[in-house]
Amino acid sequence: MKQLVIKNLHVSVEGKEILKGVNLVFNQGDVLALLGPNGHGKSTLFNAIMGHPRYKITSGSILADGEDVTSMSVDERSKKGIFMAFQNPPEVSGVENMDFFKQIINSHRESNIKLFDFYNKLKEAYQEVNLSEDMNTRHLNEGFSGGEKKRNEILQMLLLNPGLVLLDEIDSGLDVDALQLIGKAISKQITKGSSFIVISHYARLYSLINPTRAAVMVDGKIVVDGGVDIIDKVDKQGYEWIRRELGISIKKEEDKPIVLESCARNKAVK
Amino acid sequence: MKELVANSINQIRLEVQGCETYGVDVTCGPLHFDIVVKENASLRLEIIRIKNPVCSASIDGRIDLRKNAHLEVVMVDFNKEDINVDLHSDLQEGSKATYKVAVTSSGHAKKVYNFHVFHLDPHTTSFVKMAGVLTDEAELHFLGTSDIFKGSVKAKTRQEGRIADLSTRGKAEVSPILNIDENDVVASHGAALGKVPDASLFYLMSRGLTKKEATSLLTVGYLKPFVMEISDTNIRNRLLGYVEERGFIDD
Repeated sequence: MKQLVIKNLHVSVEGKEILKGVNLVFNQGDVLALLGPNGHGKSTLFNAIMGHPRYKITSGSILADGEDVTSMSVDERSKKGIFMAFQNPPEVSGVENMDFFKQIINSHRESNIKLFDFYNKLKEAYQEVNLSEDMNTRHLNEGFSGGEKKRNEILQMLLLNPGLVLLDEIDSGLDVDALQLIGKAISKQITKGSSFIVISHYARLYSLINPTRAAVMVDGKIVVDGGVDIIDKVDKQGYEWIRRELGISIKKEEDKPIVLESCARNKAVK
Repeated sequence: MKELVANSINQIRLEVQGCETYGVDVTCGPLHFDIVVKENASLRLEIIRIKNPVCSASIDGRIDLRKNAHLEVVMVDFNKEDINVDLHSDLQEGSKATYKVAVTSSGHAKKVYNFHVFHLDPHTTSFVKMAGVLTDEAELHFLGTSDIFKGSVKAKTRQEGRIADLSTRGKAEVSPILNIDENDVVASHGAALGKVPDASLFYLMSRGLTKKEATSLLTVGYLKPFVMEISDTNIRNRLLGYVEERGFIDD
């Protein structure tokens, strides 16, 4: 993918507008640090790009090399080269890792990968994220530690070699060694020509992967789009300067109500 | 593995003394269980109902556990016709009963599964786990009840049911019930029902799998672990083939 252009993107979740006109031009080779306070729409932007059905695009467009992805199914977007590393990857019981890996690689190819090539590719990827090949027979993300889940996301990125990678807090829950490893894997993927949009609250990850630009999202809009010096500024000063310099007030994330689970009885009659 | 066959009045009567494994091939009509697992004995029962024959069936009766007895029931039902299962187990001191059940319900089938476990004594354990895939206009009901009687201290029970609802106009019900008359117990129940989970579906699709590929992968994941429990290699492979070909999902 050579260029991603997001034009005046408005996105609602369950009737509530989260993105309120996002504009972004993103070129091949860009590594964008996407910053902003919690609950201001960063993950929503990722989910909208990837096509999560809960995130409704009410207006605007997302163009990948001039082609509007908003009318594509989720798998078509993946085949177009978009990859999202999940903040909280779901546990999928019954689906063995290795079966899954083989199937996703094949879904991106005209003809099925040769078994020998698959094993080599997988072995290399395991080594790169320092996961044991014992994971092959485990079920997808099931019973994985937080760190294992994150590394499994990066492993899938390595297997699919996508053009555009969206990393949603890939560094949360990682220890220092794992973070170094992930940083190295990302840097290597950048040299292969992939573009990245990276959400993180910590400068440490950014210092490992050297972004080319940075942007700040506040209240569903990109309010600052510029050089990497913004990362350092946010790291040292937080977001207070945005209010001071740009006159944009930042609302705190609303307190979420506590919902108690109902008793275990379910019935569906259509 | 020995096969259990019903007598002329459709009964399966059995007293287990040692450590036994039996298979039951459910064909047509009623089947009454009258099984006792004697003190310190253990029974593994593998109940299979394959794609054919085309006829409805029912299973009722009891599998009772004496002191320190063990019971493990694995049931796989991929038949397209009606079935009504209603099995009761009395658990005496120190005994343990496990039921693992995998079912597909398709076409216009109506399937009802009810496992009722009675914890009569202390240190009794029961575990009921049912997984199902519902398609077309079929019905699938998972009903399970654990009764823990007064004085059954340190009893443990779990009732769990999951149905993946891929039907157009089907009916699904998961209702695990716990009746507990003792304080010193561990008891839990879980019910999950729905289309395949949206979060999992989105995740798999975001990696390039079409909705259909992702859905079948997820439903195969529901059923496969149960099929893998079948000890006879030929039967297991036959069932596995059916699951992996997604024989229960129409194109």
